[in-house]
Parts: sequence; structure tokens; C-alpha cells
Amino acid sequence: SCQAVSTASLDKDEKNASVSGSAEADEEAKVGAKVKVKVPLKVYHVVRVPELDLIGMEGVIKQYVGIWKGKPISANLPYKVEFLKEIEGRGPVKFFVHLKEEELEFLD
Amino acid sequence: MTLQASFFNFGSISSLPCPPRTFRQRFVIRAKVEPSEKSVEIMRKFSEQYARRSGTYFCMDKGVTSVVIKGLAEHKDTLGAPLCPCRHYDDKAAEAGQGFWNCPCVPMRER
Repeated sequence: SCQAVSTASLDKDEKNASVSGSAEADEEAKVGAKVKVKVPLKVYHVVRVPELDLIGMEGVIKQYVGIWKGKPISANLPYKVEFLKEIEGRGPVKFFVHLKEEELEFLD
Repeated sequence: MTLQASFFNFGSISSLPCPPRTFRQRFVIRAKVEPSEKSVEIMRKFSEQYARRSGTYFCMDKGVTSVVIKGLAEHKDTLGAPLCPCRHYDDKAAEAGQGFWNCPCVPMRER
């Protein structure tokens, strides 16, 4: 019975590792997905744009920063999304915003 | 480096057969690494410059500001990057390498 218990715990550990590994793979698979911001969200880092509300804007996920060289990272805004906004007098301006899943709506 | 030394006494009280009651004195030394003055100065200037450029202000309680800047300096010394001292990390080296929480952190920069 001791042997059975130890084998069972080993299986459980392997299962946990594979579950977390596949969850990370799922997140990485979302890179390239088109998304839309579904909450009012103001950002202040766009060059020469003091304040910008992103609600309704569409972008593309460029990177998932919750994993780095196989190690989990505590970033709470793990989706790095690329946006392209037409600014008067400047043309299309490309910028990146870090977002969390609750702020995004995935577009098919 | 500051050393904090403390000692404690305890007497053994047991119903098991053991040597007679003895008092033991034990010194516990906890070493707290202080950041280098150079790093503190670098992070102080960095923080002032960032506040100036971003139009933000230090906390009214300058004691808080001081602790935060020292924390940034300590991380810069130990990890090579000023990781936000306000958070807990499971793997500081990985976090510093990835950069999300390197000062100025993403949430502060963007939002």
C-alpha cells in the first residue's frame, strides 16, 4: 500500500505539472489573437498623447509576459497588446499596452 | 551592514527522563544588508527625475519615500535592476530579468 500511495502522489505531481504547463501553453497560444478593450481604460504613456481612453479599441496580442524563460512571473497585466491609432496631424501611431484578461474581449 | 543580535533563554520542562533543568543562552544574529550609498544616491536622483518628468509627487510622509528608495537601491545592488520593493516575489532574479516590475513598473508607466 505504501508503494501505491507514493505512485499515486507522483502521478498527481506529474498531472499538476502537465496542467500548469498546458495552461501556460494556452496563454502563449493567444499571441497573435485580435482583441478589443471592453472596459474604460485610460493610458498615459502614448508619445505626445497625454491621456487616451482605450475602450472599444482593437489590437493584437503581441506577447504574454506571465512566463519568462519557463518561469512564472507575477505580472498582473500579462497581455502585451499592440494598437494602431490614427492621430490627427500625425497619421497612424503604433503603441503597446499591457492588459489583463478581464479588460479584453477576444475577437474571432 | 547592521547586525541585530538577540538572545533568549528557555528552560526545559519535560516529563521525560532528561538532564536536570538548564538555562540555555543562544545568540541569534540576523544580518540586514543595507544598500550602498552610491546606489541610494542613484535611485534618489532617478526617482526625482521620474517624478519631475511624469508630473507626479513623492509621498507626503518622506519616511515612506526613504524606505522605498532604499528598497530600490537594495534590489539594484543585489539583482542588477531596481525591482519594485513594495511587492513580494517568488523568484526575484526572474522578475528582474523579465522587467515588468522594474522601476518604473509597467502599471506606473502606463496607468
